[in-house]
Amino acid sequence: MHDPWDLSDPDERDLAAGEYVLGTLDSRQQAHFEALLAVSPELQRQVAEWREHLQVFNTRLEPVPPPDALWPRIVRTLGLTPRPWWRRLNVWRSLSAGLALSTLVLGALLLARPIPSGMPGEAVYVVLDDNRVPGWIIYAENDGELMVQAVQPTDMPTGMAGELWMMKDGQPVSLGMLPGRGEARMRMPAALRPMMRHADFAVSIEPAGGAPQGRPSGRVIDRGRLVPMRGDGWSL
Amino acid sequence: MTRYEQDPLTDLLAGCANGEARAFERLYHATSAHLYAQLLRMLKEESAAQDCLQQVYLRVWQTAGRYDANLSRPMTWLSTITRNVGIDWLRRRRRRREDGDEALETFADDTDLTAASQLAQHTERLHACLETLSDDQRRALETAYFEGLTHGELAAALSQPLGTVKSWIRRGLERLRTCMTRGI
Repeated sequence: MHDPWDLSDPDERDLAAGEYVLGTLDSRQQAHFEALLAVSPELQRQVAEWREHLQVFNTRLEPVPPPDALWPRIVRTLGLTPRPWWRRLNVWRSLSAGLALSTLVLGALLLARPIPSGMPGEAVYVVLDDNRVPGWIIYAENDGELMVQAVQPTDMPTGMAGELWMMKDGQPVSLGMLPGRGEARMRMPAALRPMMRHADFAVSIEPAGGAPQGRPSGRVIDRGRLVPMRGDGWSL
Repeated sequence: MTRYEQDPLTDLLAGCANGEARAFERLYHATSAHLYAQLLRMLKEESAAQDCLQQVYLRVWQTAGRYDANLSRPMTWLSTITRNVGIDWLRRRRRRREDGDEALETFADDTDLTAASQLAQHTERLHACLETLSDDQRRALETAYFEGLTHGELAAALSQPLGTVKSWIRRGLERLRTCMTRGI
């Protein structure tokens, strides 16, 4: 069954935000919603409000103290040593504040126009971190041109950056390093283009000059696929 | 002045962001029983809930700097992380089930039900806004919320047509929103 899902209607958009927080959207709807969410501060605020509304399910639960052994386990795992200097600086937060402004402008543009025409590219992949915070938006053209926009990239140790991988026959192929801020363009090798619509992508944390031996070596931030922006469009 | 600055948990989260172990410990003691209850309700397995709770606090320690006191209450932020970790675990379990081990999992299901009914007896009185929903709407919302099901999966779980389930969810969300924002 295909419901008309008109995200340009404010009430529909708000209910879609509710369904997104509830988690009932299918993977396709969710990907479309997240592409818009990543660039719309208004939608981010609506999602935050729905989280407060639905928190009612949690506040009804009777608290249950976890076993005493759990806290020492957490302390051991973390080592709880003082943080290295780069985690204590506020640079990351001021950076993302600057980016939030450009995001705001793009978000306003998007909502003012019919949605598909506001998005560059034919397909999009939003890279999300563990807490579903959008780190980068990757827009892809059919000719293999990729435009990457940094939104709130995952905090990185000095000298490290996100590297984008595309899976080909079960093997990761590097597409390049993601920008820590602003935008960057990349080109997908011609041999990979025919499979870009159905390939898995991943982002891992690597030395800024690229992963040693061209193989992923660090923690994987996210994996996902490109979702077409046109064709069957936003009416899901 | 930010929206949720008054909440004492906001200071503790700021302490965690600065790498203060004491703030982290106080945060754990103030919130872990709530988040553990949430995971028990979702996973219905004690050992899995404990593993997930450990993951939640590791994530909290690592990402406390991203908490935004303008956007959400500290407890809601913590519950969102908890729910993400719990749903990841549930989805992995569903995938494992699809890959086989059905007999073993059926056995595990029986134990789950006992745990669920015991937990249900512990739940607090219904929040006033939830009482404005019909039983079907509330059941659909609650099942989706705690079990991390999509519309399609929810329809299968409740043995109802997809359209019916979608409309329960929509109407339920609409009523909840009206009650929460306008108090009616």
